[in-house]
Amino acid sequence: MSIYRTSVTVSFFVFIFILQSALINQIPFFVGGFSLFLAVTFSWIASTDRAETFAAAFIAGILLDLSPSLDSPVGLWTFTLLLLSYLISLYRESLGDLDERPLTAALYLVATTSFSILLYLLIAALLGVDVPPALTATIDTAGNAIWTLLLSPIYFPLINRLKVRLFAIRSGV
Amino acid sequence: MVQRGSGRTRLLLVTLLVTSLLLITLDLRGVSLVNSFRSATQTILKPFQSVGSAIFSPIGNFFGNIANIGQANEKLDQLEADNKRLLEELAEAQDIKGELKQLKDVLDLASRGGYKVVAAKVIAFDSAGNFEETITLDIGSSSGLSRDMTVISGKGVVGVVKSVTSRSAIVQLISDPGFRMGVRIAGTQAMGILSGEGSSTFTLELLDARSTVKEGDVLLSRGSTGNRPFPPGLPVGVVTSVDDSIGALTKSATVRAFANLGSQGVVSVILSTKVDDPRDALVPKPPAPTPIPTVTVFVTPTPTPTPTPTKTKTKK
Repeated sequence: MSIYRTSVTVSFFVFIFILQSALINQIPFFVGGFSLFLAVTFSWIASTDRAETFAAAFIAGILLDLSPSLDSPVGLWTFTLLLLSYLISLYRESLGDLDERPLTAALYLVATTSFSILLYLLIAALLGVDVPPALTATIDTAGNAIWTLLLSPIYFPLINRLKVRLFAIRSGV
Repeated sequence: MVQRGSGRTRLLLVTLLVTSLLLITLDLRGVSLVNSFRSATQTILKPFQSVGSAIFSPIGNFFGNIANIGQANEKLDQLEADNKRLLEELAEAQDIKGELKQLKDVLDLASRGGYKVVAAKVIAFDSAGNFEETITLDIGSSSGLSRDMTVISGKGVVGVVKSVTSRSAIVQLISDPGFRMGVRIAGTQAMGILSGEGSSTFTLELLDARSTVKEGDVLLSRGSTGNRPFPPGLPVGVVTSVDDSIGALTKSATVRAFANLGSQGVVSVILSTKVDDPRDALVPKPPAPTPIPTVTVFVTPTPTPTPTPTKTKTKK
């Protein structure tokens, strides 16, 4: 992964992180909340090679770990996303081209975001960190899944086009 | 088919996993460097969050209101119910306050006259149905009331008990057109007959045509045999105008009652009186004049130069 691609990835995730913290988090969703950051992370790593997948997961995890509102230890989100990115990299071929299969893309995003939250909570519980009650966690996860599913036709194509364009600039140069 | 990564990619994954585990370990062991990163992030994010809050607050509130519309309606209903209850309590409190003042006044008058009284609440007015001016009290013979007892307020005579049941009593007001009572003018002791006219004013006819009456004279009850129905010396009203028509056989005047007959909530019924006539002791005191604020102007004279005495040399 080149320095250019790494810097583009970092800048992009920082922008999404700020967007999530400054705007998305302030919207009172009807059920649970919506993690645009997680959805964008899994959209981003859906169409990259393995090394870039791990790097993107690491960058996204570090940014999530730096969220001031978190009580869990720094590195927990990084570890979670790295594990998931490894799983995704193993089975990416079976997903096919998600650009042409919007329903599969939506289900992939719902599955990965939900599983990442549950895995994060599981590891946190194993480490002795206070986790929310099961009902709250279930409602939040379900709410996030609903919004991820409903909004995926908007952000998923956008992320893919943006990614292609960002990396195409370098190729053009 | 599972794609197997190269050794380099695998090394990258292991390195990143180890890094994340190292970060977790450091954080769990309380290394302050890790926590300071979060503080720095908060510092960086704060201006963005402020801007976001300014932009999104109205939209967020809108969505929040939609989400909580059921709760908002419940809260509104509860607030309306609370408001209604508080208004009722306020009205009740004001009513009680007014009754308390009336009761205090009437007990004050009763104590000055040395009357034994029993307080009663006015539960009904009857002035339009049968052309009689009456009120109904919530107490009756079980509280010691009987016919021809005097009913007073804090200001003076209200009426006379006309009929009694065990738990209620009907009082004929002094404004009733059929009401007559003997009165005397405080000071001159001139006697007369006061007649109700079905309104807030009464007619006074002096018994002696040579007696004098003037505007502002206070009328007191003359007293009946055995102090029933009227004990002597009770304030009744004040003369508001005198009829000086030439050729009239008796002198007459228009009188306004002290007691506000239309707004009595609490009255007292005189059960017994002292033998002594209080004479003019119960004449209401005139209201204290409102003090006019005086403006005091201090004038400080401008110091003028005073001639200093000059010593003149005298020739010796």
